[in-house]
Amino acid sequence: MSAHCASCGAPRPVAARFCGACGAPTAEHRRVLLHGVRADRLRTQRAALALGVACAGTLFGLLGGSDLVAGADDGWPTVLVGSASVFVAALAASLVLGELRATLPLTASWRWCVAALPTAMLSLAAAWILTAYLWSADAAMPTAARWIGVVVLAPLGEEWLCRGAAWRAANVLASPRSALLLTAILFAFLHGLGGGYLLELPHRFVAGLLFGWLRWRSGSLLPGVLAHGLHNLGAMCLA
Amino acid sequence: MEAITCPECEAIQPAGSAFCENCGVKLVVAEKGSGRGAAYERSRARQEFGRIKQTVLIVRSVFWAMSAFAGLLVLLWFVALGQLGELGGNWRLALTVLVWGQLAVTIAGALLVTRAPLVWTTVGACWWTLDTVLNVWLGGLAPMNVFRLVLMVSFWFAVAQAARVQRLMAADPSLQLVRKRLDPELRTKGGIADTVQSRQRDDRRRTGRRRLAMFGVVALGLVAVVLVIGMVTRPPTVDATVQAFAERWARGDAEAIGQLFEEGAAGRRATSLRDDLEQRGWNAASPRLGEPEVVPAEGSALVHFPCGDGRLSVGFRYDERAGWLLTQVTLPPFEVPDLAPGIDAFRRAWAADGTDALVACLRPASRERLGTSLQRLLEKRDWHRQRPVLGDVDPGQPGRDRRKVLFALGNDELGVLFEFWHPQWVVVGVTLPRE
Repeated sequence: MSAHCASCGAPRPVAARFCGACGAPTAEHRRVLLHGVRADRLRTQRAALALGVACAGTLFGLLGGSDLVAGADDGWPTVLVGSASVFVAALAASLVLGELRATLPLTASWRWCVAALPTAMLSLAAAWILTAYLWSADAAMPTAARWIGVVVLAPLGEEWLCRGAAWRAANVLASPRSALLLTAILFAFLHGLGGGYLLELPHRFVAGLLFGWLRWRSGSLLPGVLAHGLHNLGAMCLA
Repeated sequence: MEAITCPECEAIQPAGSAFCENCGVKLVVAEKGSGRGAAYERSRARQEFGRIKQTVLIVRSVFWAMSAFAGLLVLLWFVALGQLGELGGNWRLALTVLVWGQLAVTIAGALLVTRAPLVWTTVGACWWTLDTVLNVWLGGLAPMNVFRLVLMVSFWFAVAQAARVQRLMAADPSLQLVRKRLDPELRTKGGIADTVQSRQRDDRRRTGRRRLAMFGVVALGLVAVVLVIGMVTRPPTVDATVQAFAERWARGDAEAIGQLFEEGAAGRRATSLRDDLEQRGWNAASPRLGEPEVVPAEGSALVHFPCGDGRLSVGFRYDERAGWLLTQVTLPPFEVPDLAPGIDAFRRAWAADGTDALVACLRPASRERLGTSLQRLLEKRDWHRQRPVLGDVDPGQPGRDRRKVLFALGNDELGVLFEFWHPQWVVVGVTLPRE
């Protein structure tokens, strides 16, 4: 059985994808190619939207949450509402991306978990240098809620958001190296609601790069969560 | 003739084929990536690149605009430094780093977004999102903030386009966002370089015109969007409420007018208005109002109605939840009748036996309360049957609806407070001389 090329009219086998005489793709094969392009475009848009949801969702959540608990003391309501907004934004970004399970890789070797300690110390040093000369927020009273919020809940939520959902989305958009940069940028801007506005960003960007490097090399969220928790613990102790 | 094996995909091709039927590679030139399939892919990629690269160029323009704004902030900071004097702590350093940092980042973004579109578009998107969220939080959903939100979503779609642009640039190095300069050695007069240059110049002009047209269309679109948002969010006109006020006024329904106040008909202002209307006798039959003259202001309006010889002024205020509310009603001044009949009536009541005639002079609304009190005071002085004769009278200042009249009473004075309550002067207070 044979068909004819729509471009040059030469006969060609039905199963052929290109014309043997002029090399033009068959209509079916052109559709397949275009379908691939459209699918790729759609996936890219979903990934960008997931990043946008992660960013805008967290910022709106944090400000909306602060309105919700306005007047309450700096205790459990503030901590829980703040953490919930980060978790909800991470969940929403994962759902927009359509890969909820893939945003939570938690298996890591013990070597990388150990590497979390020097990484945390490095990020803490960077943060100390930058905050000593530029901007440091007033230290709040260290309550139990605050300790748990900063040392446990914030690392879990933020790592899932930035190194989980956003990392996965950024990997769809570009190479892992670019993903490292993108998630560090996102991580820095998510901290822009602190009193220092853009001055809050530089040391968060450095920390984001370090935690992202852990995520990249280990392939897991766990070392990043540990490093982030240790960093926050150190910062609380120093404050 | 023998069958041929494709060097690209190793599929067996019929003898005499010029292209592989499986992958489209040109078989006579046995090179990878030389087939129609590859050419088709390249052409498609170029078409797409030409279409979406504008997004990145727009992001670059946004960065330039932001850097101009950041430059302005730097200038303002220098002016402010002279005014501020000494700042405590690290404030001076921190703010200097902030303003210069903004300028540096925006200029870097404008310069580098064509090299690394994805990263810098993401920086722009994150920054814009942060600013938008703060503005929405502080200013609510004002038209400008709705516009910011729309731009924020567009920015994140620009991130998707930038990712594709970056991918296409990586796949085909000949695809660049900015034109490369011609080698100066190639620029011989009338040579190919000149032809290329003139073609490039034409291209640039065409592109410039196209961009200008696009900018015009976008600007018109934005103006239209802002106008539509403004129309949708603009408060309704005060006309309907003015109409409602005029209808209630024509019915003489003071209770219904009072409901237009923020605190309702039972509030202080509504009660005061009812008293004013009753004093003039307008609670039953109010004078006809003329055509209203509306003086609008930001969130409020003042409406003047011709009313008899004077003017009735009504103030309104717009509330987002309750709509237009009445804030004040200023009635026109009115002429009170002569007080002399009131004074004569009081003299007669004072001279009469008993206290009934005196109590009848009091204002009906407060007659019971004041009457009891007056009777008790008169009994205390034994004046409840017969009272001393009143002498000369000082009728007080004329032309007011509330007058204090003094009667000579022996060597002392009797003070009587009169008020005009339509249709006559009534007594609202009596000050007896000291015992």
